[in-house]
Amino acid sequence: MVDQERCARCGFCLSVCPSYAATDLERHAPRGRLFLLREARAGRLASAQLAEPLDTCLRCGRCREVCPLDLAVDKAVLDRLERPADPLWRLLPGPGTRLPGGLVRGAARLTGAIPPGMPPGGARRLLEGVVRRPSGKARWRVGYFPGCVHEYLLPRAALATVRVLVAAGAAVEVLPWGCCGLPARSAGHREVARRLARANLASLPSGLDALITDCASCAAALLEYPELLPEERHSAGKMVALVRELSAFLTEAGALPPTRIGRKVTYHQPCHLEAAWRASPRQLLDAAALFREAPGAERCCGGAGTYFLRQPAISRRILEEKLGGLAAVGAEVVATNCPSCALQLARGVRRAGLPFAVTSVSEVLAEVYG
Amino acid sequence: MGRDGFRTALPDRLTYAYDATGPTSLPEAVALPRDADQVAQVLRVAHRCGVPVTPRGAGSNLSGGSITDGGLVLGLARLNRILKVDPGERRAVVQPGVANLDLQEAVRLHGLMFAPDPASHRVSTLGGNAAENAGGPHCLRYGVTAQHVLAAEVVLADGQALRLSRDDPCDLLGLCLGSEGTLAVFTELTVRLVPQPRHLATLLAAFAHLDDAATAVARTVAAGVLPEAMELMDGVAVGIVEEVMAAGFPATADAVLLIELGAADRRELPLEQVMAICREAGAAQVVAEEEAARREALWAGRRSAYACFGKASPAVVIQDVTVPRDRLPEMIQRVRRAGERHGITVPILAHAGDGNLHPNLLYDPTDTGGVQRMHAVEEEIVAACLALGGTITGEHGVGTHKREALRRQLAPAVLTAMGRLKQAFDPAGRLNPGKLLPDGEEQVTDASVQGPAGALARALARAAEGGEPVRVGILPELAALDAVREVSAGNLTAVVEAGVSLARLDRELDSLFFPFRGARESATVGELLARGESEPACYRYGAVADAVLGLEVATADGRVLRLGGAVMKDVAGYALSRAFLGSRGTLGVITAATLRLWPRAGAMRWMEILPADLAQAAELMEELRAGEDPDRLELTWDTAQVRLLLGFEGSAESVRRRGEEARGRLERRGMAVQPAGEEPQAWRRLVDALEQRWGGVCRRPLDLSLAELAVWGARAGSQVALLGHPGGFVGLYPPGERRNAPPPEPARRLKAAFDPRGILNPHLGVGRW
Repeated sequence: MVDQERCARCGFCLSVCPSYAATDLERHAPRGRLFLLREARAGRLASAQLAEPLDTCLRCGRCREVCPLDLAVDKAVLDRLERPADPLWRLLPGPGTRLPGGLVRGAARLTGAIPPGMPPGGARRLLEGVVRRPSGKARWRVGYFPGCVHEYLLPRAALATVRVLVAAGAAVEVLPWGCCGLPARSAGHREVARRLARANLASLPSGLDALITDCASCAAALLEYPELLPEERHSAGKMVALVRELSAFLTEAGALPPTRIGRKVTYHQPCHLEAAWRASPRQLLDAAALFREAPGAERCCGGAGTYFLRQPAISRRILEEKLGGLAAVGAEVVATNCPSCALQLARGVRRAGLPFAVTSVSEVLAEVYG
Repeated sequence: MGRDGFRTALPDRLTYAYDATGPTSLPEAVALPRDADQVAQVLRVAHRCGVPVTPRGAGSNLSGGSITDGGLVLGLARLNRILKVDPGERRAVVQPGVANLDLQEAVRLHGLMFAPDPASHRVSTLGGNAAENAGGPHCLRYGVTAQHVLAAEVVLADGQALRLSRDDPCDLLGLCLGSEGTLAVFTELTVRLVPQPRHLATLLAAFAHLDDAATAVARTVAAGVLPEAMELMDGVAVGIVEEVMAAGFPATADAVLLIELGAADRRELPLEQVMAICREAGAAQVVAEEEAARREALWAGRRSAYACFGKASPAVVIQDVTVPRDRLPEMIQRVRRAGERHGITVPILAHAGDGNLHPNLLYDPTDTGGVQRMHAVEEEIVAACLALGGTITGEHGVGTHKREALRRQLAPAVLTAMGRLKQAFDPAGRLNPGKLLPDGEEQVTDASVQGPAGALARALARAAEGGEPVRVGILPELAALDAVREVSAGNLTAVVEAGVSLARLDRELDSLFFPFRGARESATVGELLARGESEPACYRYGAVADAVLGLEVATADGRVLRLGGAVMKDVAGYALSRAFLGSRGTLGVITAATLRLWPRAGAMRWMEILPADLAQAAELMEELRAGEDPDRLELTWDTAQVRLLLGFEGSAESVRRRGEEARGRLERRGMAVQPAGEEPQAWRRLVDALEQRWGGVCRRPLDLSLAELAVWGARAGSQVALLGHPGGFVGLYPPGERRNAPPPEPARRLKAAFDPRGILNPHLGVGRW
C-alpha cells in the first residue's frame, strides 16, 4: 500500500508520465492521481469520479523511477482498481490450454489490434513442447516463454527468438505455460492473475540454466510473482532468479552478434523493461546493424495492453509524439522487445504512412546469428 | 479552448488545489488555454466578472504561490512549445509552459545552456522560473533568472497584452520578474543562452570543521575564481545521505563542498589552484574528476539529498534564507544551535558562493509537540537571518508562506511602495490575490531620515508641495552624497552614495572591481544607475541594473526607501529597485546603492580594429565569438568610421593566450590589429562628438542580430550612429526623434503613484528617451 500522505507533490512524475504529456491535465498525472486517491479515501471524492483518472493511467511505471521518495504510484492505482473478476477473464489461457488461434487473430484484426500488413507469420504448433537443439554440444539449457501476444498475434518474432538462441548454442525448450497474468492484474483482477501464476510455477521444468522471455511486459509480470504469490515466495523467487530478457541473456553469455548487416535500425524501449536490461538490446543492435539512438527512445508508445482500445484519444496522442521522435532518426527499422509495443507502433506507422518497418529485436538478430 | 480547456468537475478542481507545499485550497474552476490569445481572453472575461485568477505553471513552487481560494486557476501548461532557438544570437523564444530541462536539452547540441537550473528543473516551467526569479547552483556564476530573460510578452489582469523588454525606458519586465504571478502573466519569453564550458571538473572536498569549508569558499572567491557551482552540505546532511544511500561521503565530515569548475580551455581550469585552497583550508580529503560519468557520481549524493531527507523523515519543511556570503558559517552555526535547542534535526544544504542556505527541518506532522518545536526552529532561523542582514527568501519566493514574515524584513514605507507597484499593474487586485504582500495597511511612521539622503528627500517633498519641477541630475543635495559608506571584501559588495564618481570608486576599490565606467569621465554612480545605459562592460557583466543588490531612493513624498540589501539573491517582495534603475530620475532619486563587486583581474589587454564597414564588422564579431568569447567586444559606427574594440581580462597567462588567439583569427582574415595600451574610449568619444554635432544625443536600444547589422546600416540614413555589442546594440539619434510609442498603462500609473505632482524630471516625461 503506497502511503499517499508521503507525496511531497514535487511534480517530478509529471515530467515522465505519458498521459500527462498527452493532455497536460493534472488529473492525468501521477501526482494528481495520488491526491485523488487520498481525497477518495477521506470521503471527499466519490469513487465514480475516481474511475476516469485511474483508468487513464497506463501503468507504465515511469513515475516510480523518478519519484525521489520511491512512491509506486502505478501500484497505488492498481491496488485501488482491484475488484472481483467477471467471468470473461477466466478465458485467459492457463498452462496446457489454448485459445483457438484463428479466432483470436480474427478478433484482433477486427479491433484493429493488428494492422493490415503485419502478418503474424507462422503457427505456434511449431514451437510447442519441442526442444530445439543446436548442432554440436549445447552450452546452456534454457526455457523460453514467448507470452500470449507473441504466441497468438506475432509468432514470427518468437520463431526468430528460438533461432537466435539455438544459433548462440542454447538448447531451447518452449515452456508449456499459459498467460503470465499481467492483463488480469492490470485490470484489477488479482485473483485471476494469482491463479495463472500458480499454474505456471507448477509447470516449470527443472534443470534450466535460464528462463528467457522477449516480451518486456511478461518479464515484468514474472518478476512480480513473489509479491503476487507470497505463500509461494520461495519457488517464485527461484524462478525469478532464472528470468532473463533475451538481449540481457545474450550479452551476459557473451554470445554477441557475429556479423553486422547494413540496415539502419533504431530501438524503442518498452516501459516495462527492467532498468538493468535496457542497455543490452542497444548493445546488440549496435553490433548487429547500423544503430542510432532515437530521441525519445524511452518514451511510452501509448499501447499499454488494451489501453489503446479503452482510451483511444490519449493513446493516439502519445503515439504521435513517439513516432515523431522515431521518424527523426532516419531509420529503416524500429526494433523493440515487447510485442504489444510493436503492434501499437505498427498501427501508428501505418496510419501515418511512415517509411519504416516495425519489428522485434529478435528478428533483427536472427538475420545475423542465423 | 475545447471541452477540456475549462474544467469545473471536482477531480480537476482538486488536482489544481495544491502545489509543492502542504496546504491545499480549492479553486472554483480551472482554465487551460492553448495560446496567448486565449490567455488574454480568459483574463478579460475573469476581470469583467470580478473573478480572481491564479496563474500556474507546473505547480512546483515552494511557497504556496500557485494555489487559490475559490478563484480561477489559469494553467499555462498547454503553452509548451519552444518557438525558436537562435544559437548565433544565443537566444531562445519559448512559451511559458516549457519545462526548464526541456529547454536545456533543446539547446545542448548547440553547445549552449540556459543558466538558471533550479532543483525542480525537470518539471518547473520557464514561466514559473520567471515569475519566481528562480535560482539554482549555476546562478553563482551566471546570475538568477531575471538576468536571463531579455524580453517577454505578458497579459495584465484586465486582459491587456504588452510586449516588454529589459531595455525599455521603464523596466516593467524587470518588475514582473519575480513578481510571483501578481503583476502579469507571461505568455512568451525571450531568454538568453550562455555557452557551455567545454571543459568541466568537479571537486569534492570533505572538511572536519564547517568553518574550514567556509574559509575555502571565501578564499576561492577572493582568488578570482568563480566556479560553475559551489554547493555545501553540512555534517548532518552528509550523515543522512550516507545512511540512506551510502553515497561515499566520509562519515566524519562536518561539511562537504562540491565545486564545479568550467573553462573553454583545459589549461584555464583552476583545478590545482582550488584543490590547494581546499587543502590549505584544512580539507581532510579532496577528490577531483573530469570525466562526465565520474563527475556525475560525485554529484549523486548532493542531488539525492532532498530525496534522502524525505525518506528519513515523514515530513520536511525547506527554508530558503540568504545571508551575505561572509556570514554564512555563522548562520549555519545558528541554525544548528536552534535545531539542538528544540530537538529538531536540521540538515543544511547551501549554495555556498551565494550565501543562500536551505535548512531542511525534519519532523513528524502527527506529533503536535514536534510540529510546535519545528515552528520554533523555523522562527529562530528567520530571526537569525534577519539579524545577520539577510533575506528570508533567496529563491523560493514569498507566496502565501512568508507574507507575514515579510513585515519583519521590509520597512512599512517599502511595503507601501510595493503596494503602489501592485496597484499600478492590477488596480482591481484580483491577479493572484493573497500572495507576496501581506494584507492590510502599513503603519508608516514619518520619522525623519538623518543625513544627506534625508535632506534630499525633504527637498523633494518641498518641491512637490510647491509644484516646482526638479532637474534631478543637478539637485544641489546630491553633492553631499559623496561617501563610499562601506566596502566588504568578504561579501564582494560596496555601499556607495550617488554622488561618488565611478573613477574615484575605482581608485578606492583597490583589489576589488566594479566594471562599469559610465558614459563620461566624470560619471557618478547615481548617473550610471539612473541612466541604465549599455556600455562595453555589459558584454561580460550583464546589465548595470543586475549589479545592483540594494538601492536607497528618495521619493517625492519625502521618504527614503531602502530596497534590497547586501545579498546576492533576494526574492523577498517585488524587485522594486528596477522601477528606479534606468528611469532617469522620473520616479525617484537614487541616493545610494549596494553594488556587486568582482575581484580585480590580474591583467587586461585591449585591441582595436578598423573594419571596412558594418558588414565586415559583423563578420569579425561572429568570428571572434566562434572561438573563446572576449570580455569586451564593442562596436562604434557613425557613417564615416567603424571601430571594433576587443578586451580580455583575467590572469596574465589567460589574457596573453586569448589575445594571441584572437589576433591570429583576425590576421587570417586580413585585419590589422592595433594593440591599445589603455582602455580605448572610442565609445565615449563617439557620444561626445555626436553631442557636439547635434546638440544632444538620443539613445535607443535596437534588437539587432549580427546578421541584420549591415542591412540596418544601409537603410539608416545619415543622421544616425551605432554603438554596442552583440545582444546590446544601441542606435544614436539627434534629439527630438520621436520613435517611442506612448508608455504602457502600468508605467503611467507608476509615475502617477510615485510622483503625483509630476515634479521629477518632467522634461523627460514617462517612458521617453
